[in-house]
Amino acid sequence: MIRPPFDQPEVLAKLRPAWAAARSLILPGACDPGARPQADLRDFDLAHRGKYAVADLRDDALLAELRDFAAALTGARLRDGTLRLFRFRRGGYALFYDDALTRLTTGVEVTLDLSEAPCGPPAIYQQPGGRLEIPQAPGLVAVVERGPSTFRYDRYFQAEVGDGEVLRLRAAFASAD
Amino acid sequence: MIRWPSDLAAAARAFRSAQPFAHLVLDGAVAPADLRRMALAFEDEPQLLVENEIYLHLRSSDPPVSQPLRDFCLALQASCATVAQICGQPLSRADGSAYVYLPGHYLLPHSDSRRSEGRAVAYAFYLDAPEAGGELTLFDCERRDGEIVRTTPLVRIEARANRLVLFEVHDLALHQVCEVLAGARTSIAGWFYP
Repeated sequence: MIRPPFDQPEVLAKLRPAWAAARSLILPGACDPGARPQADLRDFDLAHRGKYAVADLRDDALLAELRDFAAALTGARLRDGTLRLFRFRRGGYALFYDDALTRLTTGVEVTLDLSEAPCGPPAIYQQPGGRLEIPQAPGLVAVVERGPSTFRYDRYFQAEVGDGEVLRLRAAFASAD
Repeated sequence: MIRWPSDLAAAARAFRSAQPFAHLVLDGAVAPADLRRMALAFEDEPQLLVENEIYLHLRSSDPPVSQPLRDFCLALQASCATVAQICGQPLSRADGSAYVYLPGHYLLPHSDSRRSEGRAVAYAFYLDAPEAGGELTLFDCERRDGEIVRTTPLVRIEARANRLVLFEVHDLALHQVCEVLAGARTSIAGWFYP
């Protein structure tokens, strides 16, 4: 699913200083949005948490590919993690509290934008030092270090989204160290 | 300035019995001349675009700087005893800011409950109605083992001009302002405190 040249460990190693400086990296065009996995999405709607559709994926090959990608980029040893596909449509959102109940507290989170078209708002990570916006762009891959004080929300999908939908595949890996 | 119901006991009963949580809708809350003065003041009220995970809208300082809007906030402050009678709890002060919601602006579902701040009763007074959207939605919540496990939008209150809404503040008093789809929603909103 990761596109060349980002599937090459030596290329990712060259990006490591940038990762080390920011503890996050946004790579436009680093994945193939057409390669979205089959998923049985279920609706989630709790007003104080969020509104979206989600599927927990069991795809060992994909999980291994993304773990190897994240490990090569960050230089960290990572354990097997979780893989969840989110779909947002008009009126959708996910708040900090939803993240707080489901997040990985320490490790690395990789988000792949598998949407067909750019139509939605960004996802936002917030930590005491600042905030990081992950633009909504098909093919974009974001790698973000998660610590206990890092929280994420998916900004509300306004009416201007129309019939569009956004697919975010999120893989979370705990540190093995 | 604020035209409270003459029968406060009836208002208190209506407040207490409202579902999904205690609230009261009071139309014609100020005299038409006062409403016009406040609406005019809104045009000069400095506003900042503010955003976080919950909201996107324009907000003034607390209290607003325009005198007619400040006067309304002062009138609320002076009405603490009346509001206390309606809401059945002691209240001693109120705050408030002016808000403008333009198309695309929203306030997602949340509770106003902040133990450190002591908010007891929330209010919203609408000066102008948007052409579409901007309703205040109140949610019915079911809690199990301390967690909210079901939320249902139960009451939808239109943001009509000269309408004042009071509602109680607690962890299960989830509410939202629906996205404004057309026009502008102007309001003054804040809280009463013990």
